[in-house]
Amino acid sequence: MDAATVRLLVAGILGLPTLGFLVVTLGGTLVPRRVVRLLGPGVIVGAFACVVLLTVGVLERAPADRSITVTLWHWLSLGGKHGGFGATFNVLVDPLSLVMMGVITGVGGLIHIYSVGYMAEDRGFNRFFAYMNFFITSMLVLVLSANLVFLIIGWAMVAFASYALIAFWYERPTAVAAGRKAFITQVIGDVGLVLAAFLIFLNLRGRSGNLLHTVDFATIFANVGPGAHFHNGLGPAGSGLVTVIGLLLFAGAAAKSAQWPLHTWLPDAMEGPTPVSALIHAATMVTAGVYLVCRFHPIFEQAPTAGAVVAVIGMGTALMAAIIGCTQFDIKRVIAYSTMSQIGLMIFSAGIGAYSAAIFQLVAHAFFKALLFMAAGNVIHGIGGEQDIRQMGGLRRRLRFTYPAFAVGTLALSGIPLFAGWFSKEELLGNGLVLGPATPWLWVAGVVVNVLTSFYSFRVLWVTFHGEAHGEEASKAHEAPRVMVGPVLVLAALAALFGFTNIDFGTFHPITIVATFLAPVFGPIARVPAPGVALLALLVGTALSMGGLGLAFLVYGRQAIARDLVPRRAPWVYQLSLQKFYWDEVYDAMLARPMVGLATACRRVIEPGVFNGAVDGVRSAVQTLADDFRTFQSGLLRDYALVFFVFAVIGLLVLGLHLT
Amino acid sequence: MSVIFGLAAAVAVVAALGVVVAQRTLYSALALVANMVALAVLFLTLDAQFLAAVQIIVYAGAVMVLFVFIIALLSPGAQERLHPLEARVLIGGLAAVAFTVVVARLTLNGVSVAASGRFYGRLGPFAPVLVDRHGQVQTLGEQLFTTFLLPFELSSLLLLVAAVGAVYLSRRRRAS
Amino acid sequence: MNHNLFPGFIGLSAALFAIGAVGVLVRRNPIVVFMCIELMLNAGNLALIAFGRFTHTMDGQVFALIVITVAASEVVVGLALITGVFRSGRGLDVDELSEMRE
Repeated sequence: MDAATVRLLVAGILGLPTLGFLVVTLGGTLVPRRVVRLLGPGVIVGAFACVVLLTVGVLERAPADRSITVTLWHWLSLGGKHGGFGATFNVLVDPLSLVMMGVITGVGGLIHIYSVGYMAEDRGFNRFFAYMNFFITSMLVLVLSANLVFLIIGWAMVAFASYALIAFWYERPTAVAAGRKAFITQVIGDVGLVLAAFLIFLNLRGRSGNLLHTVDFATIFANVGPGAHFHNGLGPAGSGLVTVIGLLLFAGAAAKSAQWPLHTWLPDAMEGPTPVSALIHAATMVTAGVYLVCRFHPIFEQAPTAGAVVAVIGMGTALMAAIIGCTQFDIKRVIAYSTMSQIGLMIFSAGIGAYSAAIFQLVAHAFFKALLFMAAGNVIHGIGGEQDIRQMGGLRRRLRFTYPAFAVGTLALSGIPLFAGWFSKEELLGNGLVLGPATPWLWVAGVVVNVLTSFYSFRVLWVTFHGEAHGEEASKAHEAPRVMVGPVLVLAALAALFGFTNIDFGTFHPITIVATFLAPVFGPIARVPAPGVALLALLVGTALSMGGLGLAFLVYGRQAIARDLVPRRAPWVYQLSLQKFYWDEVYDAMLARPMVGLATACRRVIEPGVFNGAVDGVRSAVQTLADDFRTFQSGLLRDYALVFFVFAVIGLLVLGLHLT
Repeated sequence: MSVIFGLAAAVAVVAALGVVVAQRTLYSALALVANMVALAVLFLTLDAQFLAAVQIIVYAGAVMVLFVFIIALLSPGAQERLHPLEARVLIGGLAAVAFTVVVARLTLNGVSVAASGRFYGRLGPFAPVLVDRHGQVQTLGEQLFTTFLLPFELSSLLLLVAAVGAVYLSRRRRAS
Repeated sequence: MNHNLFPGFIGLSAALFAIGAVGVLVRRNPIVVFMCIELMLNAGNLALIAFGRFTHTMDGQVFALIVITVAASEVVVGLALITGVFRSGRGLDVDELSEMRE
């Protein structure tokens, strides 16, 4: 595939969603709904077709030759003493960005199609698709950018799109508050990313020791890490600078991916429409943090401390979210916590250096989590907007297509053998046995996460679809229209079958096709567990996951174990989980209250004293001056002439002094 | 020569002051006549005989007659008394003194420069001795009708416009 | 006549000009104001002629002649204006003629 074709396809990938966004935005409500219904999903599907063609074209090349940089346009060209600074809109097409683009446009396209049904009755139909297309554009800019500048631009655009979509139903105060919370948290992460970019820009040195002042990924990565000549442009491995850069990058990643301590926005973001939850808060945006860590893997490889922090925080978030997920009652919130948990696992994997495992999990997770959200959307749609699982029950007989789809999603999420999640999570955790800090205890934590995950997933499945219908709405539930069921079934098929890409059918060795595809980007993995250990870990992990399933079955299916066992025996554990570890309260006490107190104090003291005083002072000073100057304004020509004459003489005097 | 200059200058300054401070308008006019005559004398000392004559005829004659005529016509009875301590008078007087001093001082400097031959580096062709031999008025007339023909003709046009304007302004309007 | 008198002529010219200017500034009678303007023009004439004399050119005298012409025209028009104003019933006071206030 020649450069011109690549360029054309990239332009298509970026241009089609932009086109959709612009047409719907500029046209507003003048664009008829039936046009938006075709245009909104159509542009994304078109972009997906471009991605597929581009992937085919890239696969024709030799593995080492699969990284292509296309310059779309020159944006900033500033001269300077260091040879100038320029941010060209370079697009980096490589296996990593292709995988990300495939997920964004593929899953995104399905969700767009689903949205046509889900949002059909909504007043803001056009606005919704404008936002959604804008989000896809932003996300594509983020993953396609070949330099820090456009990465940051995409990063910020994504945050805005997320804000707009969470607060989509702007007449609901809770939705607006949730959108604001998400946006503010994102901005905290943005600051980290921007600071990291500054540090790289200011400190990166080339092989001859000169400061490079570059934002270009290829140049940065060529000058960081061992490389061909063990050159290290940011100081020796583990130095303070590179560790700080790694931690700042992770601050950005943590905000996007809802990792502790920037995780509280994600559950609240469920205030947005369900397709938004599926697209942004399951499949794409929240995985941007994983993408970031993976994209900057040379830096994290140079900063083992930062990598360890990433791994520990990832696993800690996974564990915490899994515990919280066990006690929540809102179906979307449970799925949101499971998202947080699963992304924690990805972040853990990226932190210990198993990048392709993280990306593999990312793709699998995009399938089954989008599936779960959309199936949950069908449920909510079917019973008139109710989200509390206690009001559901017995829905499996009424939602004949959604039920099996949701079940497949649950099985995949729980890591039941032969479903996608089993392949991805077991590979991911296996690496934890030999890589990263505190081996093998993080692996143990990961197994616990898996057990909890299968427990709460089946809890939701049983309470929602089995048993007796609770509440009137649940007994009159109806299946969603075809346009909503179709994408769900497609994703169910993917969630069921995607894992088999993990097996090489020629040899039946467990090697991942994704890992092979990504190998030119990440290089070989540092260490893998011995085959015997890996097999043992696989068996133990799988058995325990299924044990979690069995436990949920005993509690919620057979009711052999009382549901209130934990609340009765260990109320503090139950409360901790139910109250989400009190993080919202902690932040409220630590940040919100002092801020409000400070603002109140300012209003009481500084506002009247300083600001009003200053304003009044300026007013009275101006008035006094004006009163003084008004006497000059006599209106008598003679007075003006006198002033003129006096100043002419003064001018002459100055001239005379100057000449003599 | 210096004596004539000193006398004429003294008369001119005193008469000028008289124009400004006189309480009656007619006295101002008379002082102005004295000033004009003194200036005509000064013009003579500067070898500008033609202009001295014009000064007497046009200014001290025609223009001043016009002034006196208007004063008599309008007969402004109100007398205007200047208070020497009035702010306007003080400031104006101070500025006037400063102006005079600065100009005189600068001119003195100019002459001292001239002694070194730079100020008068390029003198015109009309040295007084040569002009005297040819005739003062004759030289001026030749210049006026050759080199300065256009300004001269324009000034005649200006006089015409002024005459037309004066007639228009002073025409008695029908009761409107 | 030697050059020593040149500063004298220019100084005298400056003094007359300044006196005329002060007169314009302090007097309220428009006729006297006009006379003071004449005074200033004459001071200018003196300077012009003195410069012409001491730089050996005729330009000073020619310009002085033109200035006299302009002054005469100005007096004619100005006095016509004063007459008009007086006839319109307003007194002979430049401050009362002011229309630059309010």
